[in-house]
Amino acid sequence: MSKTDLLQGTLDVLILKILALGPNHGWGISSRLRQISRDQLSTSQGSLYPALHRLELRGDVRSGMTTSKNNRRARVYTLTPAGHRRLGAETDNFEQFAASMRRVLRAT
Amino acid sequence: MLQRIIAYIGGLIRRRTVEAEADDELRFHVEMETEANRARGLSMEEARRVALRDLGGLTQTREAVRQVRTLWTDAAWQDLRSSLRMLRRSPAFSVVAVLVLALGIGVNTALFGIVNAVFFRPLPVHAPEELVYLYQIQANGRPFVTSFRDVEFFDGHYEKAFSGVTAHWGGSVIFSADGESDRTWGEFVTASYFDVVGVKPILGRTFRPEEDDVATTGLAVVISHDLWTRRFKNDPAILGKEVRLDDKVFAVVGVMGPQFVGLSDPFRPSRFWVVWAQRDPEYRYFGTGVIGRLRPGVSLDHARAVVAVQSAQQQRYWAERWHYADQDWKPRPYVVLPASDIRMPFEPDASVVPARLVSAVTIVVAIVLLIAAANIAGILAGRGVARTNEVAVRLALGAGASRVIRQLLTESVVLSVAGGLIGLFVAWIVVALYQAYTPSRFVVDVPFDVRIVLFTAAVCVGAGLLVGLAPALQALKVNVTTALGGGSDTGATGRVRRRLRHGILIPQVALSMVLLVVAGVHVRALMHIESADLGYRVKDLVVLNVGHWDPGPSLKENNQAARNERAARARTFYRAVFDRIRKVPGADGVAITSSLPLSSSSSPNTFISQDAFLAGSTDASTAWEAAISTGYFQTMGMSPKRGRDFDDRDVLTSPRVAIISEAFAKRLWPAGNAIGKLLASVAPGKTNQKIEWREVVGVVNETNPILHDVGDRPVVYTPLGQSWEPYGLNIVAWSRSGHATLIRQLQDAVAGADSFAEVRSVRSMTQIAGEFLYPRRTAASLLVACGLVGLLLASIGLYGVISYSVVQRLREIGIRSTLGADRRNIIALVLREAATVAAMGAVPGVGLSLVALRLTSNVIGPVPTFDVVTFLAVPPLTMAVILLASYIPARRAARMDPMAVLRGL
Repeated sequence: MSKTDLLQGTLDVLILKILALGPNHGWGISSRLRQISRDQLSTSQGSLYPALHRLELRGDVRSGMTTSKNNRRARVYTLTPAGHRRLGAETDNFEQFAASMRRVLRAT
Repeated sequence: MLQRIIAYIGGLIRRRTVEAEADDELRFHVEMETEANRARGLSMEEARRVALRDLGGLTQTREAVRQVRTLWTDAAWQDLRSSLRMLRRSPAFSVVAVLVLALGIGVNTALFGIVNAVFFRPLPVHAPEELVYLYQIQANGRPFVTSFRDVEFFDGHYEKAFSGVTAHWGGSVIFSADGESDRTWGEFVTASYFDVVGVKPILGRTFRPEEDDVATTGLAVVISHDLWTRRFKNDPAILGKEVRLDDKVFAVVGVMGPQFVGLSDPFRPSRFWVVWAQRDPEYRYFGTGVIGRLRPGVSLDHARAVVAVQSAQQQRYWAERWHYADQDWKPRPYVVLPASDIRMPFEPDASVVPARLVSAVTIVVAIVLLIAAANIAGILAGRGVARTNEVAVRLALGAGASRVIRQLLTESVVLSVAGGLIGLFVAWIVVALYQAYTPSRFVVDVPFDVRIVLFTAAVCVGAGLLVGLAPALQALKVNVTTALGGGSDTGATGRVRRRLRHGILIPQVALSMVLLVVAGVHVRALMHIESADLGYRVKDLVVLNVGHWDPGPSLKENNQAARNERAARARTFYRAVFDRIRKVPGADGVAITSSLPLSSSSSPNTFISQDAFLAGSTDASTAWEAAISTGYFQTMGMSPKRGRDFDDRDVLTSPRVAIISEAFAKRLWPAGNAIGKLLASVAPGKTNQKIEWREVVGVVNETNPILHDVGDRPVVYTPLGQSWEPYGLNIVAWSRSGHATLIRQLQDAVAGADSFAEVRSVRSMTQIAGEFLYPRRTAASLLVACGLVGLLLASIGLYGVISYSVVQRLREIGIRSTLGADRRNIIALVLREAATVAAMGAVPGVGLSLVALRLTSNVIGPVPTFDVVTFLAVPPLTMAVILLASYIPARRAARMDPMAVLRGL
């Protein structure tokens, strides 16, 4: 199956979900996403960072600079309560959408 | 939300850190990804390359992140700074563009301000929409002013509709203060005037209700701001100062603000206000204009209804009470008109020309602005094309199209704001010039109010956006490769570009030609008028209007004895003045006349010759009458054609004589000599009138009216020595050595003639002529100014566009040079384009000029439709200027080293 390109809105949800699993930095999010989706979903990594910053401006995530092992500086993101709520809402929306699509496509 | 704002502000403050952190973040990503790639087996360089590729490019991502984090204002600020940098880098272009805009916007704003001040300013009073004028419809159906009796009635009975009623009338007095006298226009009002009109003084007070009472002793006058500034130089001790209005002494009790010039017609601002009762105890017999203020919430229609009902009742009551109702009597209705609709309150009927004048002015000014805008568009388009490379690279680097447009637009808005600011300065200068060169009778304060500033701002920004948009779009449409590859004027893109250039230039050329032709025609017509021989001397001639305050019987005593006494006083006064001024040493010629040749206020009389009368004909001819002293013709530089001048022989007791103008003589006695013939003035249609025959003793040359459209002016001169009651005396005098001493000597002479004598105004004939010519002179100067500005703009535009066209065709020129074209050929190549544009602009230009002439002659004054000289002179002149403007870039093109050009591409 070809790698599906992600729309901006869905990217946001996926980021939120991955952050719900635990705070992470940009690269970590990207590789986690690839890993969990069995490499089916990939993001042009370039659109990941603008998305992260956007989420931060919206208040769904919080970030801070840390020094990782190897003394590298990295920005780590965590989910905020608002982000949690948003994740829940968007997940529900998507489930509903998927169910409707399925119903239509399976209709005889 | 708050969080976002804090984040933004935080970002602004810690900008460096934020940028550094973003860089770090991305660097971290790349490093991690590189490591992962290495773990998969790629070499160090491969790993890094793949990492960067997968990220999508470091620069792009950085840019994308920055875009997300950037505030709208942040981007705008960046655009602003880069625009300023860009404009600083090409100073010639920036300066030219700003100047062009400044000229266009400045002239426009100034004219808008002046026209607004004279005609359209809403009354600077409280709630102007509540003010109304009340008029009475006369027997002929036209509204006219009413009488004071009505005012008192209104005041008492209309509280339902009006919160206040007041009255006003305009008039002029001799305003004397600090030894200087001048005829000044102002309003006579009731004490409630300022309260009803709704305006407060800036100094002192307005009138108190008790001042309406005739018996008050302290006479009070309120003066206008303009008078306070001009006459009293903003004297802070103005309150309480004593001035004389005609023969009574008043104290200045208040000064109005600069905005309020009374409720009078636009060309006669009120400079003082006086309570009518204090000016003339008999005021209540006079007619007056009535002003009312509607009660808040009362509609105009309601007020009209109230007025209609009540006034009809009241008039019927009066009619019955005073028994003057006859069969045909009907109550005359009143009409209530909103003050904002009436520009001339004392002549509600008068068709005020302003509408046409304003539209003419607007059109002219709009043309100038159009030229300026086209100019800027051209320049910017040229620059847009020249910067195609830069734009192409930007686009290739990933800047969004909208971002690039925003940047280009910011540049043009910056230009137009700068142009607008300087334009305001230009406008200020223009207004100052207007006020300096306008005869004081007409000048109006032009306040720089908010509306003007807003208008300018709107024009600025609008021009900027409009004008910047086209080149911005054009720049974006350009294909990157062709842009980078340079271009020539041939081929599809070349044709498009050429058409764009021509589309911008040709209207400019045509429009400026229109302006110049119209200006030229009007100026020549004006010069013709000004240099026309009027038949009398104008230069170096002074005119003093004198009178005396008759302490004798007042005007109201109408019996014969009183009239005789007044007439005798007038005769004595005249004799005394005339004898004294004749002895004045400084005058090369001095005389007295009852009317001046330029004066249009007197109306003509009808005359009939005795021959015609005896023959039973009722054919009478009209002529103006002037009573003159001896020496008049000599002073006025006129030439007696036949017979003699008046002299001391002609007194009251000697036979009546007259001197007539040439054309009139021919009209009455076409056959031959008028000398010795008799004529008399008759009132047409009246039978049994006493006819006083005069003998023609001299014939003098014609005096021509200053504006040819008035027709000729036959005159019958009678000697002042034979006048029963000389009045309205004007001393005319001239001196080879100039005015100053002459005027003083004359004033002394008059003062010594009679203890009640007074010099009412001192003017020179040139001043008086100037007032007549004022509208035409203003129009002509305006047209010339606009024409020159238009031509200047068109030349600048052409210079700019031709320069850039040269840049565009660099390669073509280089190749031609190499192929053997010499400098002259190159210059000819460039000039050919300029000449084509000029020629293509000239044709519609001339056509439009004819139309424009027709339109403007309706408004300003008649002009010959086909003034050959102007039409022959202007097109070649325009083309010459245009060719000159394009010669400079042409020479520059020819001087270029072809090898450098070709190599550079």
